Amino acid sequence: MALLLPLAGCAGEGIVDPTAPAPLCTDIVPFRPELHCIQQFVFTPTCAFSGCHANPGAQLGMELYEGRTFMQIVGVPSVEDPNLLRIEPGNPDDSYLIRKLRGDPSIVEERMPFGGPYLTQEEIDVIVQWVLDGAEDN
Amino acid sequence: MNRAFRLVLLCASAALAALTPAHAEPYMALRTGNSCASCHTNQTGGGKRTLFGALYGLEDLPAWPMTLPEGRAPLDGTLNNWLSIGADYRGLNASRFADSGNTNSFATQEGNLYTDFTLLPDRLRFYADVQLAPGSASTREMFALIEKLPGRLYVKAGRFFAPYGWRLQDDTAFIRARTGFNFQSPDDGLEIGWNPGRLTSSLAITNGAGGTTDDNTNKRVSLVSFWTWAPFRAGFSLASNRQGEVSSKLAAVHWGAQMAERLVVLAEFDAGRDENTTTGVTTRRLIAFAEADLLVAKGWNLKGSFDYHDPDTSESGDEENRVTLGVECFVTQHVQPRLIWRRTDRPPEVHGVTFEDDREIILELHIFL
Repeated sequence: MALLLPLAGCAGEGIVDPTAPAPLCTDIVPFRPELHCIQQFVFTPTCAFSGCHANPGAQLGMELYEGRTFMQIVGVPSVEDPNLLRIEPGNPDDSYLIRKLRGDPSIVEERMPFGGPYLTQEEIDVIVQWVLDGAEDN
Repeated sequence: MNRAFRLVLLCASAALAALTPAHAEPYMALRTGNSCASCHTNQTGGGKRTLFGALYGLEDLPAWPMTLPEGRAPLDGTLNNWLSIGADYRGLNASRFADSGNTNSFATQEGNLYTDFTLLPDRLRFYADVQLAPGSASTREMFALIEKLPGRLYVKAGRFFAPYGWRLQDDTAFIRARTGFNFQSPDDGLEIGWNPGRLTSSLAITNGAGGTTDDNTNKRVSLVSFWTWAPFRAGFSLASNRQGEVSSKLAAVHWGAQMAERLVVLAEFDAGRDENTTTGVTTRRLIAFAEADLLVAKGWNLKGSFDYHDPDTSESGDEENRVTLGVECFVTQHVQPRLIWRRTDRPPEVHGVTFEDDREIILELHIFL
Protein backbone atom coordinates (compact mmCIF):
# COMPACT_ATOMS: atom_id res chain seq x y z
CA MET A 1 0.00 0.00 0.00
CA ALA A 2 2.83 2.36 0.88
CA LEU A 3 4.25 1.78 -2.56
CA LEU A 4 0.96 2.56 -4.21
CA LEU A 5 0.23 5.81 -2.40
CA PRO A 6 2.76 8.01 -4.24
CA LEU A 7 1.28 6.87 -7.51
CA ALA A 8 -2.19 7.87 -6.48
CA GLY A 9 -1.69 11.62 -6.79
CA CYS A 10 -1.18 14.53 -4.51
CA ALA A 11 -4.45 16.26 -3.77
CA GLY A 12 -5.60 17.30 -0.32
CA GLU A 13 -3.36 16.28 2.55
CA GLY A 14 -1.35 13.83 0.47
CA ILE A 15 -3.89 11.06 0.54
CA VAL A 16 -6.12 10.75 -2.48
CA ASP A 17 -9.53 9.27 -2.54
CA PRO A 18 -9.42 7.10 -5.67
CA THR A 19 -13.18 7.18 -5.83
CA ALA A 20 -13.29 10.97 -5.99
CA PRO A 21 -14.62 12.25 -9.34
CA ALA A 22 -12.09 13.64 -11.75
CA PRO A 23 -12.09 17.43 -11.94
CA LEU A 24 -14.34 18.86 -14.60
CA CYS A 25 -13.20 21.40 -17.14
CA THR A 26 -15.83 23.73 -15.76
CA ASP A 27 -14.57 23.50 -12.17
CA ILE A 28 -12.85 26.77 -12.99
CA VAL A 29 -14.53 29.60 -14.89
CA PRO A 30 -14.51 29.68 -17.84
CA PHE A 31 -12.60 26.35 -17.97
CA ARG A 32 -9.50 24.69 -16.54
CA PRO A 33 -6.08 25.57 -18.02
CA GLU A 34 -5.53 22.09 -19.38
CA LEU A 35 -5.18 21.18 -23.02
CA HIS A 36 -8.16 18.82 -23.17
CA CYS A 37 -10.37 21.59 -21.77
CA ILE A 38 -8.96 24.17 -24.18
CA GLN A 39 -9.59 21.64 -26.93
CA GLN A 40 -13.18 21.16 -25.83
CA PHE A 41 -14.04 24.81 -25.34
CA VAL A 42 -11.90 26.56 -27.95
CA PHE A 43 -10.16 24.52 -30.61
CA THR A 44 -12.88 22.02 -31.44
CA PRO A 45 -15.83 24.43 -31.61
CA THR A 46 -14.09 27.43 -33.17
CA CYS A 47 -11.03 26.20 -35.11
CA ALA A 48 -11.27 22.55 -36.18
CA PHE A 49 -13.62 23.13 -39.13
CA SER A 50 -13.21 21.83 -42.61
CA GLY A 51 -11.71 24.71 -44.58
CA CYS A 52 -10.02 26.07 -41.43
CA HIS A 53 -7.79 24.01 -39.13
CA ALA A 54 -9.02 20.54 -39.98
CA ASN A 55 -7.73 18.22 -42.64
CA PRO A 56 -7.47 18.03 -45.53
CA GLY A 57 -5.73 21.32 -46.21
CA ALA A 58 -5.66 22.64 -42.67
CA GLN A 59 -4.67 26.29 -42.94
CA LEU A 60 -0.88 26.71 -42.71
CA GLY A 61 -0.70 23.00 -42.05
CA MET A 62 -1.88 23.53 -38.48
CA GLU A 63 -4.36 20.87 -37.42
CA LEU A 64 -6.33 21.75 -34.31
CA TYR A 65 -8.58 18.77 -33.86
CA GLU A 66 -8.55 16.44 -30.92
CA GLY A 67 -5.50 14.23 -30.79
CA ARG A 68 -3.43 16.42 -33.13
CA THR A 69 -3.33 19.79 -31.43
CA PHE A 70 -0.42 19.21 -29.04
CA MET A 71 2.02 17.92 -31.66
CA GLN A 72 0.95 20.68 -34.06
CA ILE A 73 1.47 23.68 -31.81
CA VAL A 74 3.82 23.04 -28.88
CA GLY A 75 7.43 23.66 -29.86
CA VAL A 76 6.51 23.94 -33.55
CA PRO A 77 7.75 26.97 -35.52
CA SER A 78 5.08 29.28 -36.85
CA VAL A 79 4.72 29.34 -40.62
CA GLU A 80 3.76 32.99 -40.67
CA ASP A 81 6.65 34.01 -38.40
CA PRO A 82 9.30 31.25 -38.34
CA ASN A 83 11.23 33.16 -35.66
CA LEU A 84 8.54 32.23 -33.14
CA LEU A 85 7.10 28.96 -31.98
CA ARG A 86 3.37 28.52 -32.18
CA ILE A 87 3.48 27.74 -28.47
CA GLU A 88 6.66 28.20 -26.47
CA PRO A 89 6.15 26.55 -23.06
CA GLY A 90 6.42 29.09 -20.26
CA ASN A 91 6.51 32.05 -22.64
CA PRO A 92 3.04 33.11 -23.79
CA ASP A 93 4.11 36.56 -24.97
CA ASP A 94 6.44 35.03 -27.56
CA SER A 95 4.06 32.27 -28.53
CA TYR A 96 2.71 33.13 -31.97
CA LEU A 97 -0.63 31.42 -31.38
CA ILE A 98 -1.25 33.61 -28.33
CA ARG A 99 -0.41 36.67 -30.41
CA LYS A 100 -2.88 35.57 -33.06
CA LEU A 101 -5.61 35.13 -30.46
CA ARG A 102 -4.85 38.54 -28.94
CA GLY A 103 -4.69 40.29 -32.29
CA ASP A 104 -1.17 41.51 -31.59
CA PRO A 105 0.03 44.14 -34.12
CA SER A 106 3.00 41.91 -35.00
CA ILE A 107 0.92 39.11 -36.50
CA VAL A 108 0.65 38.34 -40.20
CA GLU A 109 -2.83 38.17 -41.68
CA GLU A 110 -5.97 38.13 -39.59
CA ARG A 111 -6.63 37.82 -35.89
CA MET A 112 -8.07 34.45 -34.96
CA PRO A 113 -10.66 32.99 -34.80
CA PHE A 114 -11.01 34.21 -38.36
CA GLY A 115 -13.84 36.67 -38.74
CA GLY A 116 -14.64 36.49 -35.03
CA PRO A 117 -16.12 36.43 -32.57
CA TYR A 118 -12.77 36.57 -30.86
CA LEU A 119 -12.06 34.83 -27.57
CA THR A 120 -12.87 36.73 -24.43
CA GLN A 121 -10.02 38.00 -22.28
CA GLU A 122 -10.96 35.34 -19.71
CA GLU A 123 -10.62 32.59 -22.29
CA ILE A 124 -7.29 33.92 -23.56
CA ASP A 125 -6.07 34.15 -19.96
CA VAL A 126 -6.79 30.45 -19.49
CA ILE A 127 -4.71 29.52 -22.54
CA VAL A 128 -1.95 31.83 -21.34
CA GLN A 129 -2.03 30.07 -17.97
CA TRP A 130 -1.72 26.71 -19.70
CA VAL A 131 1.37 27.99 -21.53
CA LEU A 132 2.80 29.38 -18.28
CA ASP A 133 2.21 25.99 -16.66
CA GLY A 134 4.46 24.40 -19.26
CA ALA A 135 2.00 23.72 -22.09
CA GLU A 136 1.71 20.07 -21.22
CA ASP A 137 -0.31 17.47 -23.10
CA ASN A 138 -2.83 17.22 -20.28
CA MET B 1 -37.82 24.20 -38.03
CA ASN B 2 -37.26 21.03 -39.99
CA ARG B 3 -34.51 20.59 -42.55
CA ALA B 4 -36.78 20.51 -45.60
CA PHE B 5 -38.35 23.77 -44.59
CA ARG B 6 -34.93 25.34 -44.07
CA LEU B 7 -33.89 24.22 -47.57
CA VAL B 8 -37.01 25.78 -49.02
CA LEU B 9 -36.15 28.96 -47.17
CA LEU B 10 -32.63 28.87 -48.57
CA CYS B 11 -33.84 28.42 -52.12
CA ALA B 12 -36.33 31.19 -51.62
CA SER B 13 -33.65 33.46 -50.26
CA ALA B 14 -31.47 32.74 -53.26
CA ALA B 15 -34.30 33.29 -55.69
CA LEU B 16 -35.45 36.41 -53.93
CA ALA B 17 -32.08 37.79 -53.04
CA ALA B 18 -33.44 41.25 -53.48
CA LEU B 19 -35.46 40.72 -50.34
CA THR B 20 -32.61 39.32 -48.31
CA PRO B 21 -30.12 41.94 -48.74
CA ALA B 22 -24.43 41.81 -48.55
CA HIS B 23 -20.99 42.65 -49.25
CA ALA B 24 -18.93 41.87 -52.41
CA GLU B 25 -17.36 42.98 -55.65
CA PRO B 26 -18.64 40.44 -58.21
CA TYR B 27 -21.73 42.62 -58.34
CA MET B 28 -19.67 45.11 -60.35
CA ALA B 29 -18.93 42.49 -62.98
CA LEU B 30 -22.63 41.69 -63.16
CA ARG B 31 -23.59 45.35 -63.30
CA THR B 32 -21.16 46.12 -66.13
CA GLY B 33 -21.46 42.79 -67.92
CA ASN B 34 -17.68 42.39 -67.88
CA SER B 35 -15.58 39.42 -66.80
CA CYS B 36 -13.36 39.51 -63.70
CA ALA B 37 -10.31 39.68 -65.98
CA SER B 38 -11.57 42.88 -67.57
CA CYS B 39 -10.89 44.80 -64.39
CA HIS B 40 -8.31 42.61 -62.60
CA THR B 41 -4.89 41.37 -63.70
CA ASN B 42 -5.66 38.11 -61.97
CA GLN B 43 -7.94 36.27 -64.41
CA THR B 44 -10.11 34.95 -61.60
CA GLY B 45 -10.55 38.31 -59.91
CA GLY B 46 -9.24 40.23 -56.94
CA GLY B 47 -6.01 42.15 -56.46
CA LYS B 48 -4.59 44.66 -58.90
CA ARG B 49 -6.83 46.38 -61.39
CA THR B 50 -6.08 46.45 -65.07
CA LEU B 51 -5.82 49.78 -66.86
CA PHE B 52 -9.47 49.33 -67.84
CA GLY B 53 -10.40 48.66 -64.21
CA ALA B 54 -8.37 51.58 -62.96
CA LEU B 55 -9.96 53.96 -65.46
CA TYR B 56 -13.40 52.62 -64.56
CA GLY B 57 -12.63 53.43 -60.92
CA LEU B 58 -11.41 56.89 -61.84
CA GLU B 59 -14.14 57.93 -64.23
CA ASP B 60 -17.31 55.88 -63.76
CA LEU B 61 -17.48 54.98 -60.08
CA PRO B 62 -16.98 58.22 -58.12
CA ALA B 63 -20.00 60.17 -56.95
CA TRP B 64 -18.06 63.41 -56.91
CA PRO B 65 -14.94 63.03 -59.06
CA MET B 66 -12.34 65.56 -58.12
CA THR B 67 -10.94 67.77 -60.83
CA LEU B 68 -7.19 67.44 -60.93
CA PRO B 69 -4.81 70.37 -61.32
CA GLU B 70 -4.16 71.28 -64.92
CA GLY B 71 -1.45 69.17 -66.44
CA ARG B 72 -1.72 66.46 -63.76
CA ALA B 73 -2.71 63.07 -65.25
CA PRO B 74 -4.96 60.78 -63.18
CA LEU B 75 -3.14 58.07 -61.25
CA ASP B 76 -3.99 54.76 -62.88
CA GLY B 77 -0.95 52.81 -61.68
CA THR B 78 0.78 52.61 -65.05
CA LEU B 79 4.43 53.49 -64.58
CA ASN B 80 5.59 52.59 -68.07
CA ASN B 81 4.91 50.03 -70.80
CA TRP B 82 6.43 47.29 -68.68
CA LEU B 83 5.42 47.95 -65.13
CA SER B 84 2.22 48.94 -63.39
CA ILE B 85 1.28 48.96 -59.72
CA GLY B 86 -1.82 48.92 -57.58
CA ALA B 87 -2.76 49.03 -53.93
CA ASP B 88 -5.59 48.42 -51.49
CA TYR B 89 -5.92 49.65 -47.94
CA ARG B 90 -8.81 48.81 -45.67
CA GLY B 91 -9.04 50.14 -42.15
CA LEU B 92 -12.07 49.82 -39.94
CA ASN B 93 -13.71 50.57 -36.68
CA ALA B 94 -15.85 47.68 -35.47
CA SER B 95 -18.36 47.77 -32.64
CA ARG B 96 -19.66 44.44 -31.40
CA PHE B 97 -22.69 44.08 -29.20
CA ALA B 98 -23.27 40.82 -27.34
CA ASP B 99 -24.66 39.61 -24.03
CA SER B 100 -21.12 39.02 -22.70
CA GLY B 101 -20.24 42.65 -23.29
CA ASN B 102 -19.73 45.26 -25.95
CA THR B 103 -16.44 45.99 -27.65
CA ASN B 104 -15.10 48.61 -30.01
CA SER B 105 -11.82 48.46 -31.85
CA PHE B 106 -9.89 50.05 -34.69
CA ALA B 107 -7.98 47.72 -36.99
CA THR B 108 -6.07 47.65 -40.22
CA GLN B 109 -7.77 44.94 -42.18
CA GLU B 110 -5.39 44.88 -45.13
CA GLY B 111 -2.68 46.88 -46.83
CA ASN B 112 -1.68 45.30 -50.12
CA LEU B 113 0.73 46.36 -52.83
CA TYR B 114 0.49 44.89 -56.31
CA THR B 115 3.08 44.90 -59.06
CA ASP B 116 2.53 43.70 -62.59
CA PHE B 117 5.49 43.27 -64.91
CA THR B 118 4.72 42.82 -68.60
CA LEU B 119 7.65 40.69 -69.64
CA LEU B 120 6.36 39.89 -73.12
CA PRO B 121 3.47 42.07 -74.33
CA ASP B 122 0.18 40.12 -74.51
CA ARG B 123 2.00 36.90 -73.67
CA LEU B 124 3.83 36.81 -70.37
CA ARG B 125 3.32 38.65 -67.09
CA PHE B 126 4.91 38.41 -63.69
CA TYR B 127 2.50 39.38 -60.96
CA ALA B 128 3.03 39.91 -57.22
CA ASP B 129 0.48 40.69 -54.52
CA VAL B 130 2.22 41.42 -51.23
CA GLN B 131 0.40 42.13 -48.00
CA LEU B 132 2.21 44.81 -46.02
CA ALA B 133 -0.26 45.11 -43.18
CA PRO B 134 -1.46 44.09 -40.70
CA GLY B 135 1.70 42.68 -39.12
CA SER B 136 4.69 41.47 -41.07
CA ALA B 137 4.77 41.37 -44.85
CA SER B 138 3.58 38.23 -46.57
CA THR B 139 3.13 37.12 -50.15
CA ARG B 140 -0.47 36.55 -51.09
CA GLU B 141 0.09 35.87 -54.76
CA MET B 142 3.18 35.60 -56.95
CA PHE B 143 2.84 33.94 -60.30
CA ALA B 144 3.76 33.91 -63.95
CA LEU B 145 0.80 34.35 -66.26
CA ILE B 146 1.00 33.13 -69.83
CA GLU B 147 -1.99 34.61 -71.60
CA LYS B 148 -3.71 34.75 -74.97
CA LEU B 149 -2.61 31.28 -75.92
CA PRO B 150 -4.20 29.51 -78.91
CA GLY B 151 -7.70 28.34 -78.09
CA ARG B 152 -8.13 31.32 -75.74
CA LEU B 153 -6.26 29.56 -72.99
CA TYR B 154 -4.13 30.98 -70.24
CA VAL B 155 -1.76 29.33 -67.78
CA LYS B 156 -0.88 30.59 -64.34
CA ALA B 157 1.97 29.06 -62.34
CA GLY B 158 3.13 29.97 -58.85
CA ARG B 159 1.31 31.03 -55.71
CA PHE B 160 -2.26 32.17 -56.12
CA PHE B 161 -5.79 31.97 -54.77
CA ALA B 162 -7.32 28.80 -56.15
CA PRO B 163 -10.53 29.33 -58.13
CA TYR B 164 -13.81 28.33 -56.55
CA GLY B 165 -17.21 29.99 -56.32
CA TRP B 166 -17.92 33.70 -56.21
CA ARG B 167 -14.74 35.54 -55.22
CA LEU B 168 -16.35 37.95 -52.79
CA GLN B 169 -14.34 40.73 -51.25
CA ASP B 170 -15.76 39.81 -47.86
CA ASP B 171 -13.58 36.93 -46.68
CA THR B 172 -15.81 36.32 -43.68
CA ALA B 173 -18.78 35.37 -45.84
CA PHE B 174 -19.50 31.75 -45.03
CA ILE B 175 -19.01 30.64 -48.65
CA ARG B 176 -15.44 32.00 -48.31
CA ALA B 177 -14.50 31.39 -44.67
CA ARG B 178 -16.09 27.96 -44.35
CA THR B 179 -14.92 26.55 -47.68
CA GLY B 180 -11.25 27.50 -47.26
CA PHE B 181 -11.27 29.37 -50.58
CA ASN B 182 -10.52 32.91 -49.42
CA PHE B 183 -7.87 35.61 -49.42
CA GLN B 184 -6.25 34.05 -46.33
CA SER B 185 -5.47 30.86 -48.23
CA PRO B 186 -3.11 31.20 -51.16
CA ASP B 187 -1.64 27.97 -52.43
CA ASP B 188 1.14 26.89 -54.78
CA GLY B 189 0.31 25.18 -58.02
CA LEU B 190 -0.81 25.48 -61.59
CA GLU B 191 -3.97 26.99 -63.07
CA ILE B 192 -5.27 26.60 -66.58
CA GLY B 193 -8.08 28.77 -67.86
CA TRP B 194 -10.24 28.74 -70.93
CA ASN B 195 -12.27 31.67 -72.17
CA PRO B 196 -13.86 30.83 -75.50
CA GLY B 197 -16.52 33.50 -75.27
CA ARG B 198 -19.57 33.19 -73.11
CA LEU B 199 -17.89 30.44 -71.14
CA THR B 200 -15.04 31.04 -68.72
CA SER B 201 -13.47 28.12 -66.89
CA SER B 202 -10.47 27.82 -64.59
CA LEU B 203 -8.97 24.60 -63.33
CA ALA B 204 -6.27 24.62 -60.64
CA ILE B 205 -4.08 21.91 -59.18
CA THR B 206 -2.43 22.99 -55.93
CA ASN B 207 -0.72 21.43 -52.94
CA GLY B 208 -3.86 21.56 -50.83
CA ALA B 209 -1.77 21.68 -47.68
CA GLY B 210 -3.16 24.94 -46.35
CA GLY B 211 -0.54 27.12 -47.98
CA THR B 212 2.45 25.16 -46.71
CA THR B 213 4.84 22.84 -48.49
CA ASP B 214 3.24 19.57 -49.44
CA ASP B 215 4.55 16.34 -48.00
CA ASN B 216 2.49 13.89 -50.02
CA THR B 217 1.46 13.07 -53.57
CA ASN B 218 -2.15 14.16 -53.11
CA LYS B 219 -3.21 17.45 -54.59
CA ARG B 220 -6.20 19.72 -54.32
CA VAL B 221 -8.12 20.18 -57.55
CA SER B 222 -10.60 22.99 -57.96
CA LEU B 223 -12.65 24.13 -60.90
CA VAL B 224 -14.90 27.10 -61.48
CA SER B 225 -16.94 27.60 -64.60
CA PHE B 226 -19.26 30.47 -65.53
CA TRP B 227 -21.61 30.87 -68.43
CA THR B 228 -22.50 34.45 -69.27
CA TRP B 229 -25.71 35.28 -71.04
CA ALA B 230 -26.20 38.95 -70.23
CA PRO B 231 -27.74 39.98 -67.97
CA PHE B 232 -27.38 36.51 -66.39
CA ARG B 233 -24.29 34.65 -65.27
CA ALA B 234 -24.43 31.13 -63.88
CA GLY B 235 -22.01 28.35 -63.23
CA PHE B 236 -20.67 25.70 -60.97
CA SER B 237 -17.58 24.90 -58.93
CA LEU B 238 -16.01 21.65 -57.83
CA ALA B 239 -13.17 20.98 -55.41
CA SER B 240 -11.53 17.86 -54.11
CA ASN B 241 -8.71 17.42 -51.66
CA ARG B 242 -7.18 14.53 -49.77
CA GLN B 243 -4.62 14.35 -47.02
CA GLY B 244 -3.84 11.10 -45.34
CA GLU B 245 -6.99 9.40 -44.22
CA VAL B 246 -9.18 12.47 -44.69
CA SER B 247 -10.78 13.65 -47.89
CA SER B 248 -12.99 16.61 -48.65
CA LYS B 249 -15.24 17.30 -51.61
CA LEU B 250 -17.11 20.50 -52.35
CA ALA B 251 -19.60 21.36 -55.06
CA ALA B 252 -21.34 24.64 -55.67
CA VAL B 253 -23.79 26.26 -58.00
CA HIS B 254 -23.67 30.01 -58.33
CA TRP B 255 -25.53 32.53 -60.34
CA GLY B 256 -26.10 36.24 -60.63
CA ALA B 257 -28.09 38.67 -62.70
CA GLN B 258 -28.80 42.28 -63.26
CA MET B 259 -32.49 42.19 -62.43
CA ALA B 260 -33.17 45.79 -63.32
CA GLU B 261 -31.13 48.76 -64.44
CA ARG B 262 -29.91 49.39 -60.89
CA LEU B 263 -30.39 46.07 -59.12
CA VAL B 264 -27.95 43.16 -59.10
CA VAL B 265 -28.47 39.88 -57.28
CA LEU B 266 -26.15 36.93 -56.85
CA ALA B 267 -26.23 33.70 -54.93
CA GLU B 268 -24.23 30.55 -54.21
CA PHE B 269 -25.15 27.21 -52.75
CA ASP B 270 -22.40 24.80 -51.57
CA ALA B 271 -22.58 21.19 -50.48
CA GLY B 272 -19.57 19.56 -48.84
CA ARG B 273 -18.65 16.03 -47.88
CA ASP B 274 -15.75 15.21 -45.56
CA GLU B 275 -14.75 11.61 -45.04
CA ASN B 276 -12.31 10.00 -42.65
CA THR B 277 -11.53 6.47 -43.82
CA THR B 278 -9.93 5.52 -40.51
CA THR B 279 -12.80 6.46 -38.25
CA GLY B 280 -15.45 5.85 -40.89
CA VAL B 281 -17.02 9.20 -40.08
CA THR B 282 -18.57 11.10 -42.96
CA THR B 283 -19.79 14.65 -42.46
CA ARG B 284 -21.98 16.54 -44.87
CA ARG B 285 -22.33 20.29 -44.73
CA LEU B 286 -24.25 23.03 -46.49
CA ILE B 287 -23.35 26.66 -47.08
CA ALA B 288 -25.43 29.28 -48.82
CA PHE B 289 -25.17 32.93 -49.72
CA ALA B 290 -27.43 35.48 -51.35
CA GLU B 291 -26.78 39.13 -52.04
CA ALA B 292 -28.50 42.12 -53.55
CA ASP B 293 -26.90 45.40 -54.60
CA LEU B 294 -28.88 48.48 -55.46
CA LEU B 295 -27.27 51.46 -57.16
CA VAL B 296 -29.25 54.31 -55.60
CA ALA B 297 -27.24 57.10 -57.21
CA LYS B 298 -23.94 57.40 -58.99
CA GLY B 299 -21.28 56.08 -56.61
CA TRP B 300 -23.82 55.00 -53.96
CA ASN B 301 -24.51 51.33 -53.47
CA LEU B 302 -26.86 49.67 -50.99
CA LYS B 303 -25.93 46.12 -50.08
CA GLY B 304 -27.69 43.31 -48.34
CA SER B 305 -26.74 39.69 -47.88
CA PHE B 306 -27.71 36.49 -46.15
CA ASP B 307 -25.26 33.74 -45.10
CA TYR B 308 -26.13 30.26 -43.93
CA HIS B 309 -23.91 27.42 -42.72
CA ASP B 310 -24.84 23.98 -41.49
CA PRO B 311 -21.56 22.27 -40.44
CA ASP B 312 -23.13 18.83 -40.03
CA THR B 313 -26.42 18.01 -41.68
CA SER B 314 -26.90 14.96 -39.46
CA GLU B 315 -27.18 17.21 -36.41
CA SER B 316 -29.88 19.74 -35.81
CA GLY B 317 -29.43 23.00 -34.00
CA ASP B 318 -25.80 23.60 -35.03
CA GLU B 319 -26.52 26.02 -37.89
CA GLU B 320 -25.35 29.62 -38.03
CA ASN B 321 -26.66 32.42 -40.17
CA ARG B 322 -25.85 36.02 -40.77
CA VAL B 323 -27.62 39.04 -42.19
CA THR B 324 -25.66 42.04 -43.43
CA LEU B 325 -26.92 45.44 -44.54
CA GLY B 326 -24.64 48.16 -45.73
CA VAL B 327 -24.14 51.32 -47.69
CA GLU B 328 -20.98 52.21 -49.55
CA CYS B 329 -19.95 55.17 -51.59
CA PHE B 330 -17.17 55.79 -54.07
CA VAL B 331 -16.90 59.34 -52.80
CA THR B 332 -14.21 60.38 -55.22
CA GLN B 333 -11.27 58.78 -56.98
CA HIS B 334 -9.53 56.11 -54.86
CA VAL B 335 -11.81 56.52 -51.81
CA GLN B 336 -14.63 54.22 -50.73
CA PRO B 337 -16.04 54.40 -47.18
CA ARG B 338 -18.56 51.74 -46.14
CA LEU B 339 -20.98 51.41 -43.25
CA ILE B 340 -22.16 47.91 -42.35
CA TRP B 341 -24.66 46.53 -39.87
CA ARG B 342 -24.45 42.80 -39.29
CA ARG B 343 -26.39 40.30 -37.21
CA THR B 344 -24.93 36.82 -36.63
CA ASP B 345 -27.05 34.10 -35.08
CA ARG B 346 -25.19 31.09 -33.76
CA PRO B 347 -26.38 27.88 -32.15
CA PRO B 348 -26.78 28.52 -28.42
CA GLU B 349 -25.02 25.31 -27.45
CA VAL B 350 -23.20 22.51 -29.29
CA HIS B 351 -21.67 19.58 -27.39
CA GLY B 352 -21.61 21.54 -24.14
CA VAL B 353 -19.99 24.62 -25.64
CA THR B 354 -22.10 27.74 -25.63
CA PHE B 355 -22.14 30.41 -28.30
CA GLU B 356 -23.79 33.78 -28.38
CA ASP B 357 -25.36 35.89 -31.06
CA ASP B 358 -23.93 39.27 -31.78
CA ARG B 359 -24.58 42.45 -33.66
CA GLU B 360 -21.87 44.51 -35.31
CA ILE B 361 -21.56 47.97 -36.76
CA ILE B 362 -18.51 48.37 -38.95
CA LEU B 363 -17.24 51.60 -40.46
CA GLU B 364 -14.65 50.82 -43.10
CA LEU B 365 -12.39 53.02 -45.18
CA HIS B 366 -11.10 51.61 -48.44
CA ILE B 367 -8.35 53.43 -50.31
CA PHE B 368 -7.41 51.88 -53.62
CA LEU B 369 -5.35 52.32 -56.71
